[in-house]
Amino acid sequence: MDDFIVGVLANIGIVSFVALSAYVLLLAGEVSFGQQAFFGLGAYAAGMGTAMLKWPLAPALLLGAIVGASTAALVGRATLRLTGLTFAMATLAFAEMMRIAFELFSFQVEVAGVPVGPKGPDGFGDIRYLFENEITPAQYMAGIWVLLAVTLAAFAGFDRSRYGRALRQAGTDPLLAELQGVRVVRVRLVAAAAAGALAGLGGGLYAHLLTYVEPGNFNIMLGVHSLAYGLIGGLGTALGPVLGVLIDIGLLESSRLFAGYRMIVFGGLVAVLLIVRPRGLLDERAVHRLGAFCKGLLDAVAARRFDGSLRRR
Amino acid sequence: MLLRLEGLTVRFGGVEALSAVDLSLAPGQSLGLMGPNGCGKTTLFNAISGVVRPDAGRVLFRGHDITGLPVHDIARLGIARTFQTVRLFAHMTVRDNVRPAAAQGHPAEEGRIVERALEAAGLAAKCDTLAGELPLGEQRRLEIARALARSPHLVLMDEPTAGLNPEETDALVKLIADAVRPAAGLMLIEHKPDVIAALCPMAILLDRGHATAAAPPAELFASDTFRRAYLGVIDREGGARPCG
Repeated sequence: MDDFIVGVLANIGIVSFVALSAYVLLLAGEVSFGQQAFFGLGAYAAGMGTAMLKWPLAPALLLGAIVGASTAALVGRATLRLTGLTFAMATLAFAEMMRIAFELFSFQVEVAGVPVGPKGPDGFGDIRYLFENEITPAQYMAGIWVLLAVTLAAFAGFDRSRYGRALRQAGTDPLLAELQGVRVVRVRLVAAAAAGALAGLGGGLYAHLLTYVEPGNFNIMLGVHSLAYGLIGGLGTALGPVLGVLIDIGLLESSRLFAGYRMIVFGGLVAVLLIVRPRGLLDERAVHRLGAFCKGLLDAVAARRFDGSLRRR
Repeated sequence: MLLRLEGLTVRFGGVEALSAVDLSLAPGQSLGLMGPNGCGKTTLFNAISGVVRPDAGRVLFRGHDITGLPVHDIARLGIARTFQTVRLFAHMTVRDNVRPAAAQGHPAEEGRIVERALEAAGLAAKCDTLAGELPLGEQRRLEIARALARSPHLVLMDEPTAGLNPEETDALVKLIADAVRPAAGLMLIEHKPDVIAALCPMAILLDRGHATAAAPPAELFASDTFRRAYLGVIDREGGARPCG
């Protein structure tokens, strides 16, 4: 496969994790501009796992997800009673605090005589696990997509679960959800932690793909984009934010269709969709209709098979 | 006693929405609540269900003081409510609207409770329809199905027939009589005297936050207090005339 395509696909897969992270909070009824902070934490934590502690990739990625989840839970405890604009501002403030903290964070150890680790504004380089273990970019990209597929399958199950319904209800009408016995604050706290884990996992994958991260990678633009992906692709299914990433990175960025004007087109797309389809392309209604259509199709196929077997007899 | 309110008082700034309301409801009893707009009926429901915290007084439910408990805990104790303006999760299916209220035990049991509630409300055939796509009459029924799915001890219904035509109103009254009243205690806010008379052997009048003693609906409707609350000052010679 062409290196460019491999790179684009890997990028789409990784950004999908942070988009899913913002999506989970959108389902909970909260707008977060700060998921890039947990992405960054995951990147640093997983990078330290393989580059400094010489862990294998899987536990290092797990560490990134755990750091993302636990920090998000702590931040969530402090902020989840806020709503609307105040919550959005709190998440943005936290993300900026984290970015500055990455600028100030220097912690290096000697590995084979070479200092390795985060070095303040110079970033964190030498996250060379893929090279050291002869993992090709195509193999890594495939691994990212396998993880993404597993995550999406988990989302499909989650949507049908009690917790999935409670999350959507808490996000749609918190008081009504409470009146149905849903513990809205607890549901939102768990959602915040899960969102942190997804962002942290994405960050870990990102650090190993690039081999080098710096505080500037985790700025507000990443947060705004990850939020916009769910709003473009739709909140009816976890495929929505992935669709949003595909439209932005797969179509607008990679095709160079609107070179130089991409951000204008992207911003315009978000604005138009917020007006005409406030819950995105794959909103709940669209997903419901698609589901009914597929069910009808399957029923028709089953009926035709049944007729055929009767005729053969 | 199923529900007992003792000196329940709710203030919003300088306005006393409920003034030391005392009220009792026995298990299985139905009580009508009437009163002009702004007299505190919905505030009373909000105080019972935990949506607003009373400034004074107590709410005792099945012998336990539930004053100030979180809304979800009060709901889990078995108090369900419906709203004057229908409140549903519009982009979820009818079935998924009812499920959280039924989510109290094993998932298989949850499914059975949901099916029973939808069957009772006459919505079994619409279980996969999006709630927002139902006509108003069926949305009202869905609120009732949701209340039934909680297996409640007490149902608080806030003007369940608002916006319905006479046929829909009759059908809903029958549903409440057949499905809700046998299952739980009922407190019913209504402006339509015939609905109150059909469903509640006793009713009270709320006027500017003050509650009258419970009385049979016919007796209440005939009282001066009732006419004064709805129509204004009673002039013995000239009849009723508006206040102010």
